[in-house]
Amino acid sequence: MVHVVIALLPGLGVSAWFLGPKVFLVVLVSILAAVATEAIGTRSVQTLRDGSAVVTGMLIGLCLPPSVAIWVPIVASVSAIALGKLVFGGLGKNLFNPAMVGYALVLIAFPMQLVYLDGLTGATALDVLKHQEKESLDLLVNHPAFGLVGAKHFEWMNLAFLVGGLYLVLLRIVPWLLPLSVLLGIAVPALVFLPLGDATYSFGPPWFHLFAGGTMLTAFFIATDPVTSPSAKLPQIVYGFFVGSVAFFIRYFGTWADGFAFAILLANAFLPLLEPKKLP
Amino acid sequence: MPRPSFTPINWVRATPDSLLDRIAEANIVGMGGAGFPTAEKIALARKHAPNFVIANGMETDPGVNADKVLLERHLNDVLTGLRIVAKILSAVHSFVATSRERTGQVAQSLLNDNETVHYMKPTYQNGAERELIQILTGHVIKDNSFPAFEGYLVLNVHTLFAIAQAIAGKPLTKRLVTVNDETHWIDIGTPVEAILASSDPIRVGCYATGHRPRANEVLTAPVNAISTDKSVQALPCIHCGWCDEACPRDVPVELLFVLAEQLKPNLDAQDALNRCNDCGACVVACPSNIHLLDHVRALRQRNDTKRERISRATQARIRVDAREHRMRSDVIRSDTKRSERMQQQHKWQ
Repeated sequence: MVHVVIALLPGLGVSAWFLGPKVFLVVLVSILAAVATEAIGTRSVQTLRDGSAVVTGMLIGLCLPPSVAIWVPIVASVSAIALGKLVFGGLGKNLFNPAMVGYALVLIAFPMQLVYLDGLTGATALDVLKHQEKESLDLLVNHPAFGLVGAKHFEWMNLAFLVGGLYLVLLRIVPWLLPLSVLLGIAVPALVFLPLGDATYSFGPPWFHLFAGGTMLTAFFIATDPVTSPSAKLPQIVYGFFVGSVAFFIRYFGTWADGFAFAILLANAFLPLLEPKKLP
Repeated sequence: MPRPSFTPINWVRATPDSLLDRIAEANIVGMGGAGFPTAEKIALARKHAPNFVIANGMETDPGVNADKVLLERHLNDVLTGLRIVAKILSAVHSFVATSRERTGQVAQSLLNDNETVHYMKPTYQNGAERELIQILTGHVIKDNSFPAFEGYLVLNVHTLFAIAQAIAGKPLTKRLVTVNDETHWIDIGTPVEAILASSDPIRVGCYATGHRPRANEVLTAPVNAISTDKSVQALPCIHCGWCDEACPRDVPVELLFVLAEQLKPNLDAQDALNRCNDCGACVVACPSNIHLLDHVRALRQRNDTKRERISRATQARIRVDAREHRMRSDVIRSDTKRSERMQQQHKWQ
């Protein structure tokens, strides 16, 4: 888990560069809340050595916008560890990704807290897509919220997470098949839906979706949580593709700008079907 | 019975029988871990010509260097041992398998015509007997057969060293043992707790495949390592599947672990348990320091107990049935006897 934290650092740095140093505060508060909950909940420091609580807190901190009130990461991290992990029996026995449980909870309960409000960023590119008023692809791409290939600023954060993720893949800490199928899961539907757009409506090309929102963070760090993802090859492909495409369809049809939290939780619920534990 | 003499033997001139007798007298056993009497193993292979001898220096136990150090310091003695065994068997060809390139190069310069040296990466199965035979000669030993029955003899390099020593008239009193990371000569018979004195629990053998020491256990010839037990700090299983991936025999290790944690036998798992050859690759792979092999062995033990109980119950059932049958026929017989007697009595009256 030390390597996971190291791999998250470039993404954290780039986030702080674009979104301001408050990112560090949010991440730090999330980590402290997660670690404290784990220690109090298990009444020991035994499972802290694993570092999974630190990673959970860090992921929550990176998912939240820096403009949140400081109690939001605390609520998210405490509920992530307590409701997402400890109630199921602690480390290794949870059904759902703890970080996504906490994030989804605050996303539904306090949606106004989770809007990127800084004057720096304004509406994100995914928000623009969601609330677009019949604009063509060319118009959209020229919108100030869009960057070179993806969402403005977010494309660089995604690139940093991609670099960190590749580091984990090269160290073989993360199976390469999972992130690849998540990325394909979002890129293939985007490619299919691309020609469906016309002069009055478009949903952006695949490369935009790969470098917008939390795509790379999810693909390399959230979907690859060993406890809630399959370990066999074929289930990994199905799981990853499911996560990616559900996230795309939530972006396309759903009410949320980015849908990875719900995509992950939904895929977690299907895990026992994907990977039945049977003796050969 | 004359006392066996333990004087040096000139193996070049000695007869194969006298050499084999000396190996038997010296009570040499397989020092790679099996502890099988070497003289018996050679005698078995001798009945099945043509013979191939393999000096196994692969030593794939993680973190163990006893054989590697031996090959570095005493390569000549190991080769002598190999030639002695080859002479006893009149072997067609001898092989030396090592996992160190440098040892392989040194050995290359010392070899005769019918000997070859192989350098291989120390991946797990390379050191296993059957797999080694297949890699070196291409010959596949069938599952229901043994290498010795097909003329193949795989001996650990430390065993060969012991053979060379015995022929030279020196008894085996110590062996190379890797204690955590350092390899030393240690006297056989030393209490294992004295070898690695630490407050942490230890394992006899390497960390992955070794067992917890028994009461008053001492160092024996087959033990190549004494290690600190890391599994006392084990964390919960996170179902990452690394054990399944590491397993060279495709055993569903993670599933066996889950079943073992139920603390009850599971006869459906028997096929998977039989496939496991206790190599310990899963233990090395586990990021949570879980000693998966311990759990697999425990499950196997529980299954054995249950199977034995079933077979004993079946046998008891057969005995009871037979007794009932016997009783019934006895009753019938005694009934007929009584009626005959009564009929006679009636006649008499």
